[in-house]
Amino acid sequence: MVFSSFVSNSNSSFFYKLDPRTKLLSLAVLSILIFHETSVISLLFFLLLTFLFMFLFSISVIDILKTIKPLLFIFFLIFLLRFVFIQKEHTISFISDNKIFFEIFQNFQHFEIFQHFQIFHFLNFENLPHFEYGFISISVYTFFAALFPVLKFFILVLLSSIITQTTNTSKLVLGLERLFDYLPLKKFNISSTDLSLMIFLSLSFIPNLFNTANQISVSAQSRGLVIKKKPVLYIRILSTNLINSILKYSYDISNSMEGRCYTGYGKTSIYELNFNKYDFLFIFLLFLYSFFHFFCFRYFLI
Amino acid sequence: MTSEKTKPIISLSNVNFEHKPGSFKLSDISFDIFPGTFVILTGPNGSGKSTLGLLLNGIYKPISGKVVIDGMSTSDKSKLPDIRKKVGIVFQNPYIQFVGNTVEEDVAFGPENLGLSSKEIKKRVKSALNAVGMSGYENRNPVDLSGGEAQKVAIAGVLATNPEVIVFDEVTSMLDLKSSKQILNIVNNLKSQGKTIVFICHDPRPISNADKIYTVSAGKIVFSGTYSEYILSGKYPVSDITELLLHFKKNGYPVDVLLKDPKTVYSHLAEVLNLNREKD
Repeated sequence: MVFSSFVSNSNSSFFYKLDPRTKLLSLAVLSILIFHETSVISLLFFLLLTFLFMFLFSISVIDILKTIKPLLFIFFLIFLLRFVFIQKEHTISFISDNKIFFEIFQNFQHFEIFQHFQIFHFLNFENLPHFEYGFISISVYTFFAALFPVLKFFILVLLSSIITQTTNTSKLVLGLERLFDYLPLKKFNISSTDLSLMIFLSLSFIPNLFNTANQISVSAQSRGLVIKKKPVLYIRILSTNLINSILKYSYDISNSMEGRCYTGYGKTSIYELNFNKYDFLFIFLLFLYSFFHFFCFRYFLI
Repeated sequence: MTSEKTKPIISLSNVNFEHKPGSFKLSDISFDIFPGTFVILTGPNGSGKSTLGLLLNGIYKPISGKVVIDGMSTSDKSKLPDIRKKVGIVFQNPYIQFVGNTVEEDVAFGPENLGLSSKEIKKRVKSALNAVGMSGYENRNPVDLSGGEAQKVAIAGVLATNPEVIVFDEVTSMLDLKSSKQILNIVNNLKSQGKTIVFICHDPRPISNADKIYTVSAGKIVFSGTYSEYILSGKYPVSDITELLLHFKKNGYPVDVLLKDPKTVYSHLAEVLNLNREKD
């Protein structure tokens, strides 16, 4: 079961059968928790729990991690910028919020095995180089302070990927639409159907966008454009044609939708969303865990 | 052929339209479309056929004149939802019409907009896909379908809203011969079920059972008549007339004359067509 959770999705597992609104609400609650998090220990605990959850409910870890792979560059960029430019006050408050974590980390060096092989000798932070020049400050502490938001971002993306991988996109958008119905959008003349359909069409359009960009690129190169020699011209051609393509697509799809009686109001769905006992149980456990996580880590373990 | 004494379902009176000032214009368009009829709008590229098609569905509104669908003017914004329930439109490129991740979801889009229940939506989707011969394709992604299959799904998407009039805007232009014939069969079946068909195309030759043909050129109606009148008007190419005469010959008509020039061809065809009418 552990191995199968690594490689395959079992659509019969409990999590797949949850109402999409339950999953979206869970994502919202957990995102709020994570945003407010200041402790590395609690984040690592949360991450561990997420992987355990994926194993227990046969959600393929490899598939989820594959969806995150394209974002590695962005993670690295965020880390680098924070690492170099993080302000001293943020580092100090980070260290103060994570005293226990650093104490545990530094205490590793006292274990005999680590002393014998001189592993983790760098854990004695005072011996490590520290660089400061103007607003730039680089040290082990800034390294961890820079890594912290990347870890938060990683967990948020992981949770979102779990939701999108385990839910039919149309049902997810329908769930979003039903949740938007509870917001006072009508006061601002915004229809929840319009909003959710916009999200859905944007997601659907992304593969078309890549295909169109590829066609434009191939067409330009077939007429003699060498991208490496004229990158600015290439970007101009690509951006102009892509924008035209997006505008034309929007115009055509909106005509097609109007032609099929779309008004933005009163739209029903081929799918029926119904909460069942598993949804209520899941929501109850979610709030229980959130309560535990918030109060225990914030007030007792730091 | 339906009696022309009944009330028209679509009526255009002195319609003028242009996209923006100084651009291409539709000028003084007037005609009626009667329930249950098969009408062709034909003409060269850029003549305004597709623009006319979008006027029939209320997507475009005329600058002057009136487009009335079953007593409702397209200029009346409050009537547009009801007009679009009456008149469905299928576009040339099926791939720009898809809004669902699966064929089933896409065809369901129209009935969902009508506020129908989930059960009724599933029933309509099944019926629409059966009508176009695409049962079994429910879980396929529409963008992965071939041109002919995609066009059938696009037609099913409009059929599911159960309109009285269906406008087909050059639906066979991007298709091969086999797929075009399949689409035309579907169109003819819909006509036999009592739907009013408005078929926009460059070439009306494959559609010999049309009740009326209007030719649009440079934004004006330059020809209006029956299919036979269209053939005799000189717009039908001579080589195709020869094919037509061979067809008549196979069906027992006296086509034995040596055809030397276009004048002979046309006059002989008129004789054959008159004989055809007498037979009826």
